[in-house]
Amino acid sequence: MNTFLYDGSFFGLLTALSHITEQNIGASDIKTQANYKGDLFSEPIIIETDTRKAEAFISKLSKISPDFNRTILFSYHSEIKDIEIKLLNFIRFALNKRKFPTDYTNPDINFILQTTRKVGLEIHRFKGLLRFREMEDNTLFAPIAPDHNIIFFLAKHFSSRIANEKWIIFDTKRHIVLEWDTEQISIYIDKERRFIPKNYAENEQEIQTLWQAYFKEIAIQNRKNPRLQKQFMPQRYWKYLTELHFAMF
Amino acid sequence: MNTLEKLKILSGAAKYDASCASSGSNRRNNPKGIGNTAVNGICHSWSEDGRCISLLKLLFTNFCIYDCAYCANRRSNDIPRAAFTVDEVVDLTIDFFKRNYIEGLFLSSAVFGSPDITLEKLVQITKKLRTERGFNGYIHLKVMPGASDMLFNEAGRYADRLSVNIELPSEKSLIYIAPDKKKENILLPMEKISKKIYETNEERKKTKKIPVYSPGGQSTQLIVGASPEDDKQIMRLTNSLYNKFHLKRVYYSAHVSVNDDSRLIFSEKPDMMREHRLYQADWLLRVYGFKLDDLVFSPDGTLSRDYDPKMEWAFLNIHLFPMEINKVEFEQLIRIPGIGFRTATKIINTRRFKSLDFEDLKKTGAVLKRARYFITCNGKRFDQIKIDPQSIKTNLLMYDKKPKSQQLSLFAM
Repeated sequence: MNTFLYDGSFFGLLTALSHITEQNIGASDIKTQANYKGDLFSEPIIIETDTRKAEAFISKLSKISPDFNRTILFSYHSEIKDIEIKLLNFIRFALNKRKFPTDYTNPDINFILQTTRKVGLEIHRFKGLLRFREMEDNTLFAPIAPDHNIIFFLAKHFSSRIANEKWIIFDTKRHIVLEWDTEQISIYIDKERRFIPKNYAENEQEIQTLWQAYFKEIAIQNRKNPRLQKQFMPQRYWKYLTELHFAMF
Repeated sequence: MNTLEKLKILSGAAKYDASCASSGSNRRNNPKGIGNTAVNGICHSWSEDGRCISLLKLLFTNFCIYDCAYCANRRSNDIPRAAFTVDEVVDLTIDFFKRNYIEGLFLSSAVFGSPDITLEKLVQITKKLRTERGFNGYIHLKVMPGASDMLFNEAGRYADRLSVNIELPSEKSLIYIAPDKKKENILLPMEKISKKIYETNEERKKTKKIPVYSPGGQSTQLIVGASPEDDKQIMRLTNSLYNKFHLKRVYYSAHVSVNDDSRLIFSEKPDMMREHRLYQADWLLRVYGFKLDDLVFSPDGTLSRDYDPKMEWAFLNIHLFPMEINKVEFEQLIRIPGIGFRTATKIINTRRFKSLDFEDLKKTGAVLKRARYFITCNGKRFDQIKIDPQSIKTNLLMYDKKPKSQQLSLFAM
C-alpha cells in the first residue's frame, strides 16, 4: 500500500486520482505535500500535477454522470482531513459500476455524499449570513469564517445580485480575498490584510443600529426559542453578524 | 420622530405576519441595478423566537380606521402611532439590501383614509424601488381588500408576491370580531389575484412582452385560537384555498391576546402545539400528496395532539401496512411515519445498488423509532413487533422518554 502526495491543488488531486485508478494501484493514503509528516517504513509517491490528465479524468467521470463535477469539487473544498482517500474509494466504486454511487449504506460513499451536501448547505447559508459593511470609500466589505473553503462559490451570486457596488469578501481563516469592482471578479491571498479597507463610511454605524433595532423588534417575545434559533443559525457563525453586535473584525 | 423610532413601532407592529418566504420568483438583475431574487428563497438571519428573517417586514403606518378585536393596531387602542414617508421605506430597503441583511421588502399597512389611499402609497413605494432605484430584490405586498382594480394590477406588476390576510377562519367570526371587514371583501381580491396570475401566465406563453404579475404567487394568513373554529374547518378552508385559488402558502398564527376584548377567546400563551399540527397537516396536503379526507380529526374536529397527522393516518389505515421498503414507490414511502422526503429519496437511490435491511435503513436517516412498526425489509419485520394501533401507541409511549418539547421542525415528520 502506498502513500501518494500531491501539491494541494484541485488539479493535483485529480491527477492523483486519475493515476491511481488507471494503474489500479493500492493506496493507503493521499495527502498534500505540505501535510506529509514522513513515515519510517515507506517512501511516498509524489504526483506531478498534470492539467490535461486532470481534465480528461473529470470529463471521463462526467460522461458517467454530470453529478461528479459538483461532488468532487465540493469534497475537495470541504478541506476535511482524509477526504482524498474517501473520494478515491467513491470514484473506484463508480468506475467499477459505471454509475454515480448513491449507496448510502457504504460508509465512504455516505461520507462523500454527506460532505457534498454539507458544503452545498454552507454555501447556501452564507448567501444569507454574510454581512457587508460600507467602508469610507463606499466599498462594501464582508468578513467570513466558513468551515469549508467556499468563498469561490459566492462570486457569481453576489456579483449578479450586488452588481452596481464594489465589494470585497474576505475569508479571515484562509486570508482569501474575493473582490468585485462592478465589472470583474478577482481572487487573491492577502495575509497582511494590505488590501482590506480600514475605516467605515459615515452612516455605517447608524444603519447597523437600525438593523439591530429591527432584529430585536421582530422577535415575538412570548414565543422565544433560543434553541431553535441556534439550530438554524449555529453560534460559530455569529461572529460577524451585525445584527448581534457592532461587528469589527 | 426619527427613522429609528418609526422602525421600532412599525416593525414591531408587522411581526405577527408569519410569512417571510422569499421564494418562487426569479427576477434577474441588470448591471446597473441592485438585487435579484433566488427561486428557492434565502434566510438571512433567525430572530430570538427561531423564525427566519428573510424580508424587511414593515407596516407603512399603524394609524388605522378599523377596529378589529384581535389587532393591536385597532383604532380604539391607545398606542404610539407612526407613519413612514415613501423615501424612508425606499432608503431602508436599499441600505439593508446592499449590506445583505435581507432578500427584500414585505410591506403591509394599517388602513388609513381608505383602502385605495393606503394601497396607493404601498404601490408608490414599490414602483419607486423598481423604476427609480433599479431594485430587483423580492417584494411582498399586502394588498387592502376594497382597493380598486387598477391598483391591484399595478401592485402585482411590481411585486413578487401579493397576499390578503383572511385573519379569521369563518365569516361569522369575521363579522363578529372584525366588523369593518367582510368575507367577500377578502375572498374576492384573492380570486381576482388568482385570475390575473393565471391570465398573465397564459398570455406570457404567447409573448414575453407582457409583464409578469405576482410571479411568486399569493399567500394568506389565519389567526388560530381567537375564534371557535376547529381544526377541521380550518383545514377545509386551507384545502379550498390551495385548490381554488392556487395559493402558494397558507400561514397559521397561534392567537396571543393583545387586547382585552370579550369577543375573543382569551389566550395568554399562544397554542404552539396546535399551530404546529396545523402546519404538519398543511404540509401533508401541499407537499406529501395527502387529500383532505386523509386527515384524521377527532369527533370534535381537532387534530391529535399526541401523534402527528401522518401517524394518525397510518393508525387508521393500518391495513395498508407493513410496506416493503425495497419495493414500494416513492409516493408510498413518504406515507410511512418516520420517513420524510429526503429519506425517501435516499432509499430510492440506495435501492439502485442493493436492497436495504434495517441497519441500512438507519443510515438513510429514517426514524426507526416510528417507522419500524410500518415496514418490512426483504420481507422481515423488525423484531417481534405487532402492528395494531394500540400496541404501537403503548410502545411509542414507552420509548418516548423525552418530555414533549416545543421543538417545532416542519420537516421531521
